[in-house]
Amino acid sequence: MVEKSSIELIPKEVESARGKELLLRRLRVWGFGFFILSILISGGILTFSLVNATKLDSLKQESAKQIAQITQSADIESKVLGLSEKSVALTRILSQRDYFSIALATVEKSRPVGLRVKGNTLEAGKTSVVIDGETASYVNLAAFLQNLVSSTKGGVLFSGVALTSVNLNASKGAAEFVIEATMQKDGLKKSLTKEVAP
Amino acid sequence: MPTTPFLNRPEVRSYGPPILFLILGIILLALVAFPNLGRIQDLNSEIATEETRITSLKEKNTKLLDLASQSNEIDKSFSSFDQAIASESKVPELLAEVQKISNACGVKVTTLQFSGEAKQQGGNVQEVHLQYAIEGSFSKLTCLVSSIENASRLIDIESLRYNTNVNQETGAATVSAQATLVSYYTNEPILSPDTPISFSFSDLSYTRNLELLNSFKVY
Repeated sequence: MVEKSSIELIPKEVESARGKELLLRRLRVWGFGFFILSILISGGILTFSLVNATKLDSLKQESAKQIAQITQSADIESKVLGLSEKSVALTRILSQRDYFSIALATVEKSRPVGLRVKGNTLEAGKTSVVIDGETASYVNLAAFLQNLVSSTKGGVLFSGVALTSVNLNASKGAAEFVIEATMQKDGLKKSLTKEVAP
Repeated sequence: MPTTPFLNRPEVRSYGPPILFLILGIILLALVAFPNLGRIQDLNSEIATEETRITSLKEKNTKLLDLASQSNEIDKSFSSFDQAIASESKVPELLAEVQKISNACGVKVTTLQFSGEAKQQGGNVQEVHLQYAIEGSFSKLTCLVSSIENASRLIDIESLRYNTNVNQETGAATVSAQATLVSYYTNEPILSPDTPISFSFSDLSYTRNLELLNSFKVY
């Protein structure tokens, strides 16, 4: 069998010119198409950007209008904010306050007859109280120390007591003592809700 | 041999316009589209922020209008709270109040002096410090301490020290006490339209504090 061989009748130069012509046509279409597309994309983005800028301007105007209205109520706002600040401060101050009246009352309640409390040193935030006094009887001093931590007397406030010093003052005929009493945590604090209760 | 001008060359005339269009398209995208794309993102973010802000401002306005209708109650409450924690130091008034409390309990004031101001940590609260010394009996001292604790202008006792002196001849005991007192005030609030108003008359802490203040004694 005889094989068919392809016969090229078109000259190479003509074929090459056609190829170039096709490439040129495609390049023109692509170039022009890309340019148009760029215009459309840029125009769209520019328009969208301008629309958003206009929207932002109108929102800013609305904000300014609202601010102007708020400014008209400055007096009320100042009082309300002041009220709010003062209320917060009041809660904080009262909840952190040490009520020294509790310590004075507790020491007095624990004091046996015949024992004199000469002095007391209290400091806010400290957990100990220094009590100094005098008594003619060591029995009274012992009772005082016991009372200070007794659950029905001083024990509601004091968790421990330490007799720091005892000196017999012969001229007075009395023993002078110094006691350091340790308070329970938040022993001098009062609950804000309890305080309101009658 | 005559030379053809560059623009009249056939390859320039053929390939020039499409390549020029491509370059112009790229320039357009680079100079207009891409910068504005970034700007759109910024604008969208700004619009979202502004919309949220307007919502907050409208809420604040509504709340202020509502509160304005209760201005009498606000004035009354403000007066009670301002009595407890003043809006300025008001040192002379504070000294006068301490003197009145001392007189009410029958103690003799031996020292009463303003010893400075300090800013309390956190918040807008300023402290006013006083040095105070009295003479009297123990029962008067307990009256004084309780009265200070229940005075309408908040006064804290920072430290208290007392000594009892007994007159050897008469046997009468005199208590001498020294104390550091601290009172408080808040500065005028700085108003900003963007600060929200969280205050409410039904707030439990506020109602409790108001009730508490009403139980305090005005001197």
